[in-house]
Amino acid sequence: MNPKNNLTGQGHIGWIETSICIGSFVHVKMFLANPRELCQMGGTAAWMLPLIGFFGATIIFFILNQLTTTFSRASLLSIAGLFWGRAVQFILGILFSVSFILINGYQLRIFAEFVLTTLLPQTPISTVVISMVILNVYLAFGGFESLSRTIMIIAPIGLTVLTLALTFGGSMGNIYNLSPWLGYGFWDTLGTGVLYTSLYEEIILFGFIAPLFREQKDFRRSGLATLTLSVFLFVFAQVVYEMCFQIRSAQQMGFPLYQVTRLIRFETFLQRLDPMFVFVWASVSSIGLAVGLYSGALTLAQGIRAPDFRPYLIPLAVLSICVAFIPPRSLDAVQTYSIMPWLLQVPFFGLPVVLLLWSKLFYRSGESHP
Amino acid sequence: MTNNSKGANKVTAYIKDLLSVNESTTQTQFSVSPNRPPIRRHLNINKPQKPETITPIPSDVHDLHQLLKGTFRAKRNPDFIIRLLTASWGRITLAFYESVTNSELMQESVIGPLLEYAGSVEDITPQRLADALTYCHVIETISSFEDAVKNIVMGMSLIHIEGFDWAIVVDLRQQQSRGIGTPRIETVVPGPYDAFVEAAQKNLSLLRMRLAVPGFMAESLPSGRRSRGPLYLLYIDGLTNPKLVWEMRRRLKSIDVDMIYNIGMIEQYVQDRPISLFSQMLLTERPDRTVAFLLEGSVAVMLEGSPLVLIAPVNFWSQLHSPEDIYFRWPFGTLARFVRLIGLFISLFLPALYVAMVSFHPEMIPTELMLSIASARERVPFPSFVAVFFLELAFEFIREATLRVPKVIGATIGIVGAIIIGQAVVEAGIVSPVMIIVMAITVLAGYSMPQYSLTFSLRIVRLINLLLGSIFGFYGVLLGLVALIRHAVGLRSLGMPFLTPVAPLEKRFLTPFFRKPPFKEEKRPGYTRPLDTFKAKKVTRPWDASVPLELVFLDESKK
Repeated sequence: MNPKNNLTGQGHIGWIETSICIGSFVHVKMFLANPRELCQMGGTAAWMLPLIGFFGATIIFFILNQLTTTFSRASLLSIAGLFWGRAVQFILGILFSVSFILINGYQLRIFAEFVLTTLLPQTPISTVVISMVILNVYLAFGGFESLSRTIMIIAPIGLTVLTLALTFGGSMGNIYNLSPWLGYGFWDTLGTGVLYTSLYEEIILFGFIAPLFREQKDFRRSGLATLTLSVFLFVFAQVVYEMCFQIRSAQQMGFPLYQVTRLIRFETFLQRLDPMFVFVWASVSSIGLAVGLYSGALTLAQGIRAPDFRPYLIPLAVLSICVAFIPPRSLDAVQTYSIMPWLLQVPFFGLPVVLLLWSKLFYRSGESHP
Repeated sequence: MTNNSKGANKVTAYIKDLLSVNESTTQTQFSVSPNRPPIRRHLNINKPQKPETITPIPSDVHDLHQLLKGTFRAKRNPDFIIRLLTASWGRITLAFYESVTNSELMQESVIGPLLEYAGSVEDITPQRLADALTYCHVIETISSFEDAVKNIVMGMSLIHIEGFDWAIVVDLRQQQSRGIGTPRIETVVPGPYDAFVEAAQKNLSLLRMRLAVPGFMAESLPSGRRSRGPLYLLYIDGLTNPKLVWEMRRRLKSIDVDMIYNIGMIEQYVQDRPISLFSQMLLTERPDRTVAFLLEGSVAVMLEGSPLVLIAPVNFWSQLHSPEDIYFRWPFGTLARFVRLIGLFISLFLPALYVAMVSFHPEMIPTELMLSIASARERVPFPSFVAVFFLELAFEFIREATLRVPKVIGATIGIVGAIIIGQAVVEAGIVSPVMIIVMAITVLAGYSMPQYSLTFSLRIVRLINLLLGSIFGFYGVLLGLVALIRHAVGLRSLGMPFLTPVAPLEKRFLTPFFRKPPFKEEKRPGYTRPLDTFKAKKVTRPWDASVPLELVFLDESKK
């Protein structure tokens, strides 16, 4: 029988779906306050920061690729368990799960604040948070395959609307708002760019879903496609944002991309595009948030060697709601969330590096793979 | 063992328990696909649940008659006939149901030849008896009374010769069925005008009339404990993936019920996710459509007594396609598919988006239009949701009433409905005129779906979206949209992803939306995993000057 006709070949994830799915996870922050933070840190050269961070993230991804190649696409936590035993695997599982839930909780809070600001000013925030979490649990319950297929339906609409919004917004901007071209100077920009490798820290998820790939080639393709898509959208959005607003304003703007879309006017058919943009953006973000919740449950299940991640989704969702309500004000949530990626890149990027070093220095190839 | 080592073991066990949640499964590989259940349910459907009793056929005529009369309650059931013929060479028992047996055929092909049989009774064997009945095509020898009963209730006629412990059954059934008619729910403008009827044999003839391949199989399967007609599993051997055939056969054989009244029941039994609002299989009354799906590698199920055929696997997009798309030239087919796709979105989301826009985001609408809508709504005391819900109900009542009332007054119902919905409710200030337009477009868009059952699914989803849109505005609509997509991507049709080739993404992912010219479609759809991938040659227009000559040469060199 033709191998293509073999039904048993099913059950793995496709590289395009995975790229777009993890890309949506990476991009949740772009729709929040991230463009403003980049402007604060990089000045007019803020659009270069994702570009510089991209190179750092690519190195980390190749480390992940090397590890998964060596260990037959085993999960990072399984590899850690093999090297250092169950106890370490357990601790790392908890650590990563907590990290993902922290990210998820803060993103949820900022997302809900955004929805309240733009769409539902009279609605209690808890209603938005809880309804989104219920949707996230439902989305994550089907696993990564289901998440990636869902995003494949939404992504074409999302990307089209985002591109249109940014293009129309950009057409109203001024290119000279990007000058001085090197912002606060070459070395400052480079240093900040390296720090902002954290923009792509979600690619660590590749290390946990590696067993879902059929071939290493797909894993590599998917990772590089995710990074390429992400850097393109980050840079595009940042350039448009900076063109639309002078740098002083851009450094203080709340929900930057939303402000860009507010500039667009279609007098004849739709007067304002921003609610439609929010609608599409929120659809993509809901998948991104669900991927965050899924990541938390998956790492927890892998850490404690549970056979299924689904029982942890609801408890972690409850924890995520709790985290979402920790910051007393929206501003506090934004401030904490802006620091969080810098701190979290230590475990997120550190683990693959340490694992690779360990495998090269101390691991003997004769030992059984996980 | 010392106390120290015991203590150490305890501590180790405690830590082990703390760090693992399920000891029995920690050694297994981590499950990465929640869609596949870890426990495979084995179902031995071929094995009978309880041992069958076998009663030999009595060789004595009186005993046989007693047994048959008792089993079929012959005294109270005059339809059941036991006839004793006395020929020169012996006594013959005939048993059959009068209502399903062709009496002329019985006389000409059974009674006549038996009475004229010239051999002696000692020489009779089942083979010789069958040879004597030259007009009967279906003859089976049976040796148990249970088989005799089973065949008689299926409409066969039993023939028994006194003194033997075997009998034969012959097929003299006459089927009462209407003639082949025109399609009722899948009408097309260009294309064939024949449709399936209730008689499976006629339906099979309609298919065989079109499909001239020896591999076209019509496997007969039981269709219930008390049901007569068989189920037919249709597929093309050598083209359809055997795993699909095996899976469908397994599911059909698992149905152990009294009676299957209609193919719609089978659909519910064999669907991958019957609780879903969407049907994951396709029901059609068109032979041409059935043949098209069979040639794409799907399997079909036909039931005696049902004028519809069930097809699986299918994808969601095929429910948006009409046979017309193929019969028209490709630009019209493509346009029609796009129109239906837009119709799908309108049917699902227009009322919800309208309510969300009017109630929560009026700033989106141009000022003049917003003022116009506001002035139209000024007289209406109810919120938009109530008005939309009222109109939905009104449309439902009209639809139900039109279906139920006698046809002669069907038009009256339509007129009454139009007056109520179109004029009276606006004048009474119950709903606004804009709302009427929105709902009319929505309902029309819903009925533009070629698959009738899809219209019902859309209606329910529309109401859910409307509720969400009324509560949360655009945010609610997005909740509904994402949940709907998540639900749809999780569906499978006979194990195949329902939204393929879009999710999961496959190479020809635009095929459902663009109807390519037929001469450019050389491959069958991939989701059925057919054994024979190609359905046409690479070059089917070698005479066309625009076809590069190289293609023609390359194609010929393959031969």
